[in-house]
Amino acid sequence: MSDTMQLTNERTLTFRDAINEAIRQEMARDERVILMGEDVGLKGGIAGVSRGLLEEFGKDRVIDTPISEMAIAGACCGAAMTGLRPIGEFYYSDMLMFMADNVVTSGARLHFATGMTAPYVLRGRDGSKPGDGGPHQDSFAAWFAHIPGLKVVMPATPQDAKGLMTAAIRDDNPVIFLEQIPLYGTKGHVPEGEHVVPLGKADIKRAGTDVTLACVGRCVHDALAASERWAKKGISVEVLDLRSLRPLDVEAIRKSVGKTGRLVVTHEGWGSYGIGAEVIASVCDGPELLLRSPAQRVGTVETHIPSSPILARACLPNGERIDAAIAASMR
Amino acid sequence: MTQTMGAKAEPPVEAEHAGLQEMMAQLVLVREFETKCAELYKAGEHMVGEYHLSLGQEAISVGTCAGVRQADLVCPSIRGMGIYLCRGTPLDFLTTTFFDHVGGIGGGRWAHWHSPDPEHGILAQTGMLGSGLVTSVGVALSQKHLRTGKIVVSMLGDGATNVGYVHEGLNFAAFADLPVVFIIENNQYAVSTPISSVTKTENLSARAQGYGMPGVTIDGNDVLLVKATVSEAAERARRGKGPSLIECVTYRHSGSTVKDPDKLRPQAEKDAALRQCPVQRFKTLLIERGLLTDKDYERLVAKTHQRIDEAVRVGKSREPFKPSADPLKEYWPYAEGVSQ
Repeated sequence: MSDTMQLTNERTLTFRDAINEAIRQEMARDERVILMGEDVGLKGGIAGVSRGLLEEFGKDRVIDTPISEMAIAGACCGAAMTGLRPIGEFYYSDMLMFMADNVVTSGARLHFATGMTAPYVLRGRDGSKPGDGGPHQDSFAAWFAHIPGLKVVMPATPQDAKGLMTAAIRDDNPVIFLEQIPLYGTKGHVPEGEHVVPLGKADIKRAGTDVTLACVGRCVHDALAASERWAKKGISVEVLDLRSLRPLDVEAIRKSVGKTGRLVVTHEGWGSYGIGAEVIASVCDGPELLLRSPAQRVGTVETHIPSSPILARACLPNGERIDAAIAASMR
Repeated sequence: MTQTMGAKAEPPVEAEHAGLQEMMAQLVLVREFETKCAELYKAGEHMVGEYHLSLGQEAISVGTCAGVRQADLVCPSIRGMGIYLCRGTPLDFLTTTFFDHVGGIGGGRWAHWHSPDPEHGILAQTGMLGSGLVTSVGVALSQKHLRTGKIVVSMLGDGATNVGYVHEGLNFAAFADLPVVFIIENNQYAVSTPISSVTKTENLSARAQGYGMPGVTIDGNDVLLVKATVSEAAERARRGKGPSLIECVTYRHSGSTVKDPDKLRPQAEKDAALRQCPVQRFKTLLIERGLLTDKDYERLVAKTHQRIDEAVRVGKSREPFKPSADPLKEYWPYAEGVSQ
């Protein structure tokens, strides 16, 4: 993929440092931007995203909080309503469920109900973390993408991570920013200065003509690997990185499927009532028939993810399952 | 309770008479406005929403509003209509909403008892008990960060004190030294469930100790005591000394909402509460001090009725909402703005 191909003199950053750079630049640009969460200050965040920010901006703007996700969510919402642009960190997507009530019933509803704005970002680790098991490897993107008034983004590359984080901080709505755990150490080119990727815009990571492989987060990399394998068999796969789940770039999805006539969707999180279901519906809902073969979904299988990494692999989206779905769509 | 704020009801002679008269007027306004709304509802008038009446608890709204500055921000409880009335939300703004007409608070989009009224410094309510408390903590965070000099009052009922949010919110406010005053309106019941049957601690304010903030339990039907206690806690918060917790013990004179038949609370208890009526107590006090006559009071009530009747007339006369032809466009939930 383009991000890992290091061209001469191109500056590269890890996914982690790309998010850090976006937050740092926005905090320098706008005093209203603050960061709060568990271990975000001294430790620099559980994933290392906020390293150096406490030293640079001080403890009034980089706040180490107690383990209180409900209070972090509420504090972000209330502070955003009254003049700040807070970023709240959660440890895992699972902890987003503690935050869910406040962001759904207050943050997401505020503008609709009152005309006020709540510009804040809830961000943190999402999805599979091989070896950690238990309730620490789920992805709840679809829960939040269900909610009008929220925006939900999930970058796949360092460049998009920086650009989407910048856009999320500047947006006047609550944004759920999901950082898939396997991506933190991945490297790629990241523009040095201001870099904004608009929310709600998908990106073709590899152009193709035979089948659209819509994907998001770490699955973008599985999709790119699959496209390489299928290219050798003479099948041209278009890898469409959704990047934003709400707003969903329906236009880009329909345009791609209009070209290929086939659709496979892969993402973490369960397939039923999930991201794949919505992407397929967005194609089927349209004025004209675009599909010439049955659409396929590759999500997390419909059970809980086993704690053993060996067992977990079979439940998560993986190359074999993506290949099987592409084969089914090509039949 | 190891920490108290030690507030005393200030002797009326030391307070401005105008302030006392204003508090009397507000007590009467809340009492008569809510009584009228309950009557309208019971008479079968079309009124939307679960109006959570604060009859019997008026001294808490009135005393709280008198104890803070008008520029300060208040996040009322779900039983908080008194706050709107005391802070100056126009009466017809409220009645219009009750009749589901165009031009009221919430604009048909948010229940009247949850709707912010930023113009009058009223923010951060929600029907999810406790959720509004942590939001109000965020409001306090921005006041501190932006150095506005404003403090935040965050109110909740006794029922809401057992929500997990309250633990996180109180601790958060305490560790961050936020300028906020938490007020528990303890009317002793969560709908039908006595607080004493689900909570072992005798004084809810004792919980303050666990968060390292001062806490005090006071007679919530003594409007001057409420005012003095809130005022002291507010100035403490304004000086950067952090949050306080005030438990105001009271009793509601009606069901939990206008729709609640209120058949479960003992009659003897209700009768005893009427003898502690905060409106009558303050009226008696002012008469004893020679600051009010029965005739003055009758005039005040009559004048208040006129205001309320006019607000009801205006609210009724406004246009009903019309269903939108394009609800997605009209109720688009996103702000279009981007920080420049």
